[in-house]
Amino acid sequence: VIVKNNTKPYGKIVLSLKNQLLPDDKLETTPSQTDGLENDIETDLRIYGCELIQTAGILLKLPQVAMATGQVLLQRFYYSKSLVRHPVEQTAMACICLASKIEEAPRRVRDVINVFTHIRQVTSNKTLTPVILDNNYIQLKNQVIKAERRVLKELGFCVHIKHPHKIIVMYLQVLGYEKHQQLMQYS
Amino acid sequence: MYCTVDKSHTSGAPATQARNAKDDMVDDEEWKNLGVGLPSGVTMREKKSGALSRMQKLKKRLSHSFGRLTVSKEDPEDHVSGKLPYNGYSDEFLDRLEPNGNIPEGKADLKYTDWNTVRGHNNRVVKRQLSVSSDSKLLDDDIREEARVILRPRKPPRPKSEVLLNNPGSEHRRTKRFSAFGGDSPFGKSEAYIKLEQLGEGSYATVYKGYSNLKNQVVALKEIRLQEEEGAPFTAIREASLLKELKHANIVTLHDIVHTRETLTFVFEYVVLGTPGEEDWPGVTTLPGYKPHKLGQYRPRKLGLYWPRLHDVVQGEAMATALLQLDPAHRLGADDAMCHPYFNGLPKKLLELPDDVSIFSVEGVHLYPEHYTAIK
Repeated sequence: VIVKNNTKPYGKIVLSLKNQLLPDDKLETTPSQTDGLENDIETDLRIYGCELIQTAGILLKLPQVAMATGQVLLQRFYYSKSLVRHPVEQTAMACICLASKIEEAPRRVRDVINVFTHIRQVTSNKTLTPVILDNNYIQLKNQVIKAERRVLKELGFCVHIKHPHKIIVMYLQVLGYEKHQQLMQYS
Repeated sequence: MYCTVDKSHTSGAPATQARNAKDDMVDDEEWKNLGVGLPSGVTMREKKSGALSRMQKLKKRLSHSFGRLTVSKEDPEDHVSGKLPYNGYSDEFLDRLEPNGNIPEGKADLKYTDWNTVRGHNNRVVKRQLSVSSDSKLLDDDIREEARVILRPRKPPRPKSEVLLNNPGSEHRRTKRFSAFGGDSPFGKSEAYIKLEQLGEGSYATVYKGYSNLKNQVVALKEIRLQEEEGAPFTAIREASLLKELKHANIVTLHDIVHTRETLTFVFEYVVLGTPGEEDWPGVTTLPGYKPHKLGQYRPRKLGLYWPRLHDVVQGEAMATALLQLDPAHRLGADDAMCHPYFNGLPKKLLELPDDVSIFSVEGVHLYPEHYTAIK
């Protein structure tokens, strides 16, 4: 089902079309495009999802590695499933839950939902209200758990990702730039 | 347009009937015009009471072919008798498809639409439904209220990416799981494995002996209970993720993963050599992690049970078992193996052959090709 299982995990945010992970034909026609979603909108949604994960990760005090992992998971998931069918926000929640588990800093689903609700309230300039434990909440939680299961299934449990950041730092050290604060941070 | 319709109601009724019978599909525009034109037809009918029965027939006919026509020409009697409760449609009509297989106009507004039927048709159907729903403000408020009770939440049409998964020709319905979980791959489904007996239990999972219908072999099923609260436990994710990449003779292979709502099952190869004891692994009992009550005691099974071909070859099983001993002291060495009765069929001269001479120099030794499938 999944093509990328055979390749080594690689890369951080996969937004470029030149990507070593997936074959070009897989990249060109994503499932979302098959559903009639425009390329630009898809890219925007992907970026939105990744930014959600980044913001939520900071609020959840996760290590940066976890956010990167979550973003890679999200990107990969949407190369095998369509954005039309699977809402990006729920998948982002599932990805960050999963990433926190993978990077051994588990966060509860409850916390993730709280943080995502908070982000939504802040971005839409609403008054901040706590999440009420009602039917909606229970339903949302189940959806997140379900989405997590779906992500795991789609990625075939290949979720340990090797990030390039260390390699970049290593290269910088070889090049003698280890004192260069700005470049190191960019990695 | 108005004129022609009126005419057809007064004198040209048979002609209309014939036309109705001919084309089942009428353009949206055409029937809109008809709908507008009709009220005058109704007034005419009231004048001519003699033609009533014929007109009623016609009306029935029309209401069947052009659904919405009746909306504008409902007459008081029908309201009183309540025969046509939904926007002028009879119950019979509501349960009826148009002869071309489409759903009648406006029906989608009132009753839950089976999207599976709609899906097969082209854009035209969808377009028509849209035009009708925009007309729905024509409905009386109380009728709409009534309709709302019947309305079930509409399912959106399946996105194309998933429709494509379904074979358009195939009749049998795919379940939701089908598209959600990996297409029609036989793996990852709990139906493929039969649980036979429990082998062991830990705090984290239970291990069963099982049988795989896909590979027709005995497997070990490790069933992890999931807490509903937090999704898959990260220990399990880690285990699965790491085992997927590990392929080594000394590490048990992970065949498959079955993930359901309540359980997560890992399908492992079933190891046949049994639990190691002091006699085949000296010193194993003194190892820090050795807990026989946790491991369970399994006696080694005969290799021939798992690789039947070993049975067929004379001394094959004995030879393989002698070579596969864990304790090096009990394991058959290369020199002894050459003297094993397994090789009795070979000429004696082979054993005395110097190291630098090829065995094919001995008379009667040939290399036979063996089919790869036969080896396993």
